[in-house]
Amino acid sequence: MEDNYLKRLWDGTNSPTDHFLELDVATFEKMQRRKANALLRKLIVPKLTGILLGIGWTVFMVMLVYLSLHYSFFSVGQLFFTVSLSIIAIITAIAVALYVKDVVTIWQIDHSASVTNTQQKLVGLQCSIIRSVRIMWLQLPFYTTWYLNADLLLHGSFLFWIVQILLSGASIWLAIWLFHSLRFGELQAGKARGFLKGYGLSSVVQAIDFIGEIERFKEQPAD
Amino acid sequence: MRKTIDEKEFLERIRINRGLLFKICNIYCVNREDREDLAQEIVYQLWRSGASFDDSCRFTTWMYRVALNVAISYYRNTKRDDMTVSLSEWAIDIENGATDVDEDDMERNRQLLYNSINELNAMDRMLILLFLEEKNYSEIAEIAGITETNVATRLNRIREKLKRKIAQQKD
Repeated sequence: MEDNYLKRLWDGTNSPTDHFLELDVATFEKMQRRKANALLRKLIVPKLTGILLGIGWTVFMVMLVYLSLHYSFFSVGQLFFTVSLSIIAIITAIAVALYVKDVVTIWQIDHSASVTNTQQKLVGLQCSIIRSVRIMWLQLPFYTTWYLNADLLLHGSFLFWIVQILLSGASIWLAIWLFHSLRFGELQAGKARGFLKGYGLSSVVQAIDFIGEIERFKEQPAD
Repeated sequence: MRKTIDEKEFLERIRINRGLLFKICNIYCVNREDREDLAQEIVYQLWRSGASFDDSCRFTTWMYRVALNVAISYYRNTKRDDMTVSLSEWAIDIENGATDVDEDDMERNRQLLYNSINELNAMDRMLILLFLEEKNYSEIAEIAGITETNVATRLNRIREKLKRKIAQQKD
């Protein structure tokens, strides 16, 4: 079978159903409003909500750190409090910055760029939630240290130490495990996929698979 | 779309080249509703991306890029398992002028071609579509964003695969 035969078969394909294509400016303007609203509802609003909550939380943490440094004398308790809250504020600020970058990217997606380039950007956006989740979990251990002070450290009961060590240890383990397992490479290999699917993020898992497909597509296949 | 671009001329260019939109819709969607949705989405994105078009590149190359990007995204988001369909599901007209026997044979083989294309992944479908649309390797590489050598190697494999499948299904 020759290539020309395939092309002949292909050339016989023609759709008579072009009545559904309304090519006029008024229709496009109506569609643009509808699509802009859909985009706003689906992508922008959740991201903007995340950004506003993130900024609010970061400002709250920074204010507490400022008040602690300004109105109290140096102590072990103040050290734990300010270091823990500062790290939480920094990590939240990084996540907010990533969200802002996503919103900018959503508006700048260029469908006329090459297919692999645009698809990588689009799928990357779909997966960006993983990047933020991965970073946000890193602050978990610091929620178990901000309240420590000299009194607790020197005179804490046996039960206190058991609970504190279990709590901090578990949160450190969970934060490190998620940070490691939620890397794209790990997710493509199959680890932690169940974790994402369990949280209703199957579409993200599919998007990650498609990233792998594009990467393989860009590579020169072996002869 | 920027007002500096003549909207009427732009829409006329899309209208002239609308045949390629139907072919793209046909290979990424099996049922009529999806094809109609996708066609509207593509045309809307073409109109929206109009500002990015400049005369330094061919209009059809630009149009293929936008249309394929939209189609592949649509396909990813609506992918279904039951993708093999009968010819009647495809929006296909048989060429006029052929004899009845030729016509039957062509129709059967055309269905085999479409079903075989349907078994390819989203990126390979794009390559074979561009090849069947008589695009040269350089243009295909530009649209897809991969090297010409990569295009050549992949297309060789895809063509062989399609021919083998059509031959097998005919037997």
